[in-house]
Amino acid sequence: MSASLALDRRRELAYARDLARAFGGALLFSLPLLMTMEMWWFGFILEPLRLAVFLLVALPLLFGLAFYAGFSAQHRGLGHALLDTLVALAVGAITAAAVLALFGVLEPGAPPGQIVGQLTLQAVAGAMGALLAGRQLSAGEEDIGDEDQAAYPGELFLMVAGALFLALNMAPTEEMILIAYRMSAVQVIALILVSLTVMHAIVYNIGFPGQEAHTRPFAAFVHYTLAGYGLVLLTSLYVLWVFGRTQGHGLAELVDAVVVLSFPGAIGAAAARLLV
Amino acid sequence: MAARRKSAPPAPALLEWAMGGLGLLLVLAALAVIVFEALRAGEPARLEARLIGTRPAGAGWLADVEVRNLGGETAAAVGIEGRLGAETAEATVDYVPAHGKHRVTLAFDADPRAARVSVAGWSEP
Repeated sequence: MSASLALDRRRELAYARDLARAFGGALLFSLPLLMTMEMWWFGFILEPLRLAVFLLVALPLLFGLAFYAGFSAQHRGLGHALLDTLVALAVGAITAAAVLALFGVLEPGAPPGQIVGQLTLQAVAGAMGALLAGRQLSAGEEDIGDEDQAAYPGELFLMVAGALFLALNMAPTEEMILIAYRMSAVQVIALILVSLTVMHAIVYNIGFPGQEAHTRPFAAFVHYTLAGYGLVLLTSLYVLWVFGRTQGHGLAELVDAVVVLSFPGAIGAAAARLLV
Repeated sequence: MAARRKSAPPAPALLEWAMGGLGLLLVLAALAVIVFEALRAGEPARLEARLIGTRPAGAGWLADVEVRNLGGETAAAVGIEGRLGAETAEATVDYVPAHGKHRVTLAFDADPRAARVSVAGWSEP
């Protein structure tokens, strides 16, 4: 252990470059959220319970992303994924603190609960971006990540991650609920069909492993598109709950909002192989 | 897993341990504050308005008011009212966070040093 802890200049520099890429990914993904005022307000509007659940649920999700994607090319295996998860959270928190301070959103005299709330939400989003940085910012020069080895549960996990990637950026805004209010039952059903169709088209074209999509199209629809859309609906419901958007809504309005948010979610899930 | 063990993964850089440690520290600190807040929450919003200063502005006067939320829940759309004789002035604050404060300015015709400021009401966020 003492040998591996010795300072190796080349290794440190290589890692610093990976880290810079992680910061880039964090900025790229979380900037829309950092510039959304609802996200600042959620820091003190959300009950602490929701924040705690959000952070705790995010940990295994980030770990999964670190395992399948990550921001460093040399990293393989569970131990590295765990370390990458923590590093990504640090990167997300530093990015959020720096940008929000720059924007004058962080108030020096604010109660600690408010600042921690604001930073926690943004840090998780930033960490997601950091872990996807390898794929987003490496310009294809090196293959980062193990996603090609993903088995069926892994594929479903990547779909959930892809759904979150887009849904998290949209869910904080008032518009999700507003759109749901404006839509009639027919339009909601049409949106479900459109979501499924677009999702299947993307899944089919990107091509999941095993070439199942080409030999057995119906099975591929059930195994990937339908299963994926179900998970997207649950993911959307969870995100809406975290942001307190489920409160005070009747079941029908809630379902409408879930379907609305699941539209970007479905596209994110289907395109997970491009994003992750 | 066995297939991935072809070459032993390189040892993490020192910078990596440092950043990882920082991440762990931040997560635990955030959880600690959140849990602390959760235990303190439940106490409803309680708002107080206090006149903290007056200053002349053109033909009129301005009164600086500080609104404090002493409760454990955030208040939204907080209405602040100031009365000076027959004159009233009002302002609305989007949010006053739990255990937080916000500054408001009310405009009057005369020096509002003797003005009575109060919180008219608020809604749940």
